[in-house]
Amino acid sequence: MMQGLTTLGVTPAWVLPMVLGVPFLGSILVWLLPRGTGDVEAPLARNVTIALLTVTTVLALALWGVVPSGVAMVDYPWIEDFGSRFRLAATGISLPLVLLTAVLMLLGVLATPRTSVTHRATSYYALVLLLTAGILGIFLAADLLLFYLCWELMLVPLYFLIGVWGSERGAAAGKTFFVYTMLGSLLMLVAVITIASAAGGTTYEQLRNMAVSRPMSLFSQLLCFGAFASAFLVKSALIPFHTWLPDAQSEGPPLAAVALGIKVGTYGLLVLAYPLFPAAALHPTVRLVLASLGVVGVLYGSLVALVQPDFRRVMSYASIAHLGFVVLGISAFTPESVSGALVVMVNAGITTGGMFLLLGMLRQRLGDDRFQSLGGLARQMPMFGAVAVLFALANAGLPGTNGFVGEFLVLIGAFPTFPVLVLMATIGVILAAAYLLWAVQRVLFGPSAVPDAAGVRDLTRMETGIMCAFVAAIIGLGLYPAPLLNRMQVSVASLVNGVKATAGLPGPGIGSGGQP
Amino acid sequence: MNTFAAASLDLGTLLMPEIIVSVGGMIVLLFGAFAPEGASSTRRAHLLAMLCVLFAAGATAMLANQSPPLGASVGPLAYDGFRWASVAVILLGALGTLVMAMEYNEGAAISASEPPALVLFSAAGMLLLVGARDLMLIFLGIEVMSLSIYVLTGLDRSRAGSAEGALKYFLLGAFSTGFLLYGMALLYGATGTTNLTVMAEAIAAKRLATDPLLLGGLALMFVGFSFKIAAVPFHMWTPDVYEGAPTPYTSFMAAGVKTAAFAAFTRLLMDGLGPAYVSWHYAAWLLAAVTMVTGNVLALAQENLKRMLAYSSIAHAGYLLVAITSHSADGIAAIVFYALAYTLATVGAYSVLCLVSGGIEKRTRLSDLTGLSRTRPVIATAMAVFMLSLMGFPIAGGMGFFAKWYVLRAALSSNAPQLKLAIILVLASLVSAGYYLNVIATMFMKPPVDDPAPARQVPARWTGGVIAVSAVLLLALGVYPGPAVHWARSSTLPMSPARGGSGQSPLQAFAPTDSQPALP
Repeated sequence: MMQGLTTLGVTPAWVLPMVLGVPFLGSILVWLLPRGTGDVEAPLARNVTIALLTVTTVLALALWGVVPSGVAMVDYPWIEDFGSRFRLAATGISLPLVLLTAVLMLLGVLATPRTSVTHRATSYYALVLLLTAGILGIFLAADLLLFYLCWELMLVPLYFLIGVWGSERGAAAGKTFFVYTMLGSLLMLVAVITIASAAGGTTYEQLRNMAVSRPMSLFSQLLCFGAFASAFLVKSALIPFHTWLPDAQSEGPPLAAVALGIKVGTYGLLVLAYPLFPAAALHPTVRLVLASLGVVGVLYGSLVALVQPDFRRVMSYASIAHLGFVVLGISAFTPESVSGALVVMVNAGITTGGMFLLLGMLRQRLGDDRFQSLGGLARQMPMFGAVAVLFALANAGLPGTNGFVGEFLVLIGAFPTFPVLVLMATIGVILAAAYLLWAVQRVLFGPSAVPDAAGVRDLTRMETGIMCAFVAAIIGLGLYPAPLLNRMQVSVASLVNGVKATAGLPGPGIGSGGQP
Repeated sequence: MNTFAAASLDLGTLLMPEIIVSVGGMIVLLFGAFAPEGASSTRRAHLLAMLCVLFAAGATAMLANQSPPLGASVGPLAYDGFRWASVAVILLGALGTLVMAMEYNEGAAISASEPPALVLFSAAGMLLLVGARDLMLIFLGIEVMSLSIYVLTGLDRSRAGSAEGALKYFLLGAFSTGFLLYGMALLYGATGTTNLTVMAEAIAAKRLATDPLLLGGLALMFVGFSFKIAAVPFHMWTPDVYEGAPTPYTSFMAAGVKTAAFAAFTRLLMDGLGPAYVSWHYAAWLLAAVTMVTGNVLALAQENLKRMLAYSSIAHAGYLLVAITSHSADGIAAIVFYALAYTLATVGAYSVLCLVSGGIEKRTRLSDLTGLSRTRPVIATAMAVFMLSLMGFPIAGGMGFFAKWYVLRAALSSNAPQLKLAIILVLASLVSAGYYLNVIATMFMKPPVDDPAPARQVPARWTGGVIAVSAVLLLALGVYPGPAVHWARSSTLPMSPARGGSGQSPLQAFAPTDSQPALP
């Protein structure tokens, strides 16, 4: 396939910037589309958005095809006085997430019916594209300043999506989300500038070289690692920094919940915080704290998920529990556990994202989707029921679905390092089955509490088609995860080995006046 | 002396922007005396004033293209890139103010040609102030600038608030001038000179850094300048005056006065008093920290947008003080860059206020923006950009983020890294998210209310233009800030020893001294 694409003129040199450029410039284009007062504007903006996201997805697929197992990079001058370059890179770690983001956002727009965006549709779709660009930028950036821009850029569209197109309490939930995540990001900003001025530039290459050739003192590394981790862990909603997530996911539109399910935070932790501050990251105490937080996340998230009043909140806490596995895998930092963590990140995006879209469809039909007013829906909506059960099983990590592969890899990879914690995390797998199946049972089976249950329609053909894509991904990756694992293998191994090799060399400090 | 300096040593050339602006002010006055009363004359007077500003900008561009290094001066007058960069920012602010005022004055029926002339006179004072390398000239600049601004504040005679603001500003301004003057006298007593170059040499040569007379002068100068830049605890006048003044002139106060006073303060501290860094460093540190925190916290409680922006401008003074504390050429470049970003965002925000309130000063409450995104989506989006820019948010806030980045960079990469100050800065700007987001939420996330007496629709094509230009510039420079960063940086490069004219370079102030204090 690679040969064929290359002969067609598909090279990373233009595909890479286009993956980011199409949604970014597209958002400006969509915003400039004529804005009517009624329904006129909605189909146009929506169709243009779908077309642009399809192009983005195709480009991401092409990128997957043309980039060999190593790395592809493009590099342009940007802000020379700061030593910053507009540099994008696709690695085995970022490519699966790039593809995931493009596909999820496309399916998310397709799955949101046109009628659900009742006002200011052009702005809505422009923000969706901007959000896509921000998330893709996080994964593709190979310059810390560019990364930071995209990292923060993500906040604004999400804030507006949750606040304007969410429920009545959306404005408050959006503000909590914005301020909470900004706190972490601002602390990271101080650390970013500190290491950027020490390294004389902001490209990952310069920064990693500095981490190898003249590493900072352990104390400075711990401080900087802490600042980076604060940004990444708040954004990925690790216990105890998770309180904003359930509100933001259930008060916002389904698309915002899907975007929040893409784990940008742990990606940052893995590709930035670990390689730049290896001595701090592999410090025994730091590892133990992170791993314990992960396991606490798994157990606490699962327990809290048991008592939620509606399915969307259950899914929020389920994704907090998934995140616990990711953090456990990263903190154990063996090739298997890190691969497992990455697989969990991809799979959680698929299953949680699919579930949020499915629940959005339900909410669209019924309005009230608390457990107490649902029940027995399997009779009216057999297709919905089948998909929901499959999603729940995949979320719970049933062997044969994608959820199993990642969690299994994390658990066996982390076992030699943290045996006790791994055993405790295993309880989380059982709890997951409990809360998910109980939730499914209350929605689908038993006596119906829906007033006019007979009038509820099953999934439409379009909705079924979208859900089929998710089902295919869940079963496909569950039975044959090799393409994903092979793609990650080289990058993960070099990352793990690189960090372990440099972890032993903390040097004299920066930030304490000792400039070279 | 190199050939370049010899070519433009004559003071007439170096004062060209000031001369154009002041002569322009007189022409506008004369025009008003002979033109018939009425709206069209008001408009013409403003257009004439804008033309003068453009001419002055052209003269500045011609003078600036030789870009001599930082500290180059003839007698009391600097002609370095820092001066020209500050002049450019001030003229930009003056231009925006004049455009805004043209339509505002028609709406508020302030029809006279004095306001544009006063804007020009005050701009002349600001230009003089940023070029001054002598205490006498600094004083002259401050007074010329302030006297015109006092009058502009009280321009709206039909409103008590305007008069209250003017009186308050005048009394407190006069009071602060007293401090300033006494401080200058003490500095003169300590060093025997009013020229900043000679002063720096004297302090270094006679080891006067901790001389009691010098310290007294320094303290009084700090008080005087803190009044002008509205730093806490000398900020009490700011909200009342900002609220009382007609909106276009509020924007001039926020953008122009602040830039000019900061440029002069920077020059005084880094240049003339550079060798006494140990003595003023901690004072500036404390001032910066208190100002950032207080300004942002008090802004949270404001209902009136003009008052909110007043407190926000206090907070921004704090951020700029962080750059001064870094005491490096990088810090000066950060100030230039920040001033540009701040001017664009502030002028834009006040233009939105002008446009939305329709010239009625009572309609500048936060609640008057409710649901603006439904009624005027483009204006609301522009306002969101200005708010995010003032907050220092990337991409959507455009250049504002790089302004913060530059200040933090200066603070963290100087010889004595200001880590604590940097952390206070980011936490303070987190607080600021509270009120800036509130504006956005009010505009976008609340339905519009039925207005019993809707604002008059004043003609606002020009004001709309100011908003559009500011927003587009902010966003463009937020994606590709390279040129602006380069401009700020190259206009503040220190003189290399080889190019220094006299034996003692005035820029010794920027060389790291061996007695750098540790982190406070």
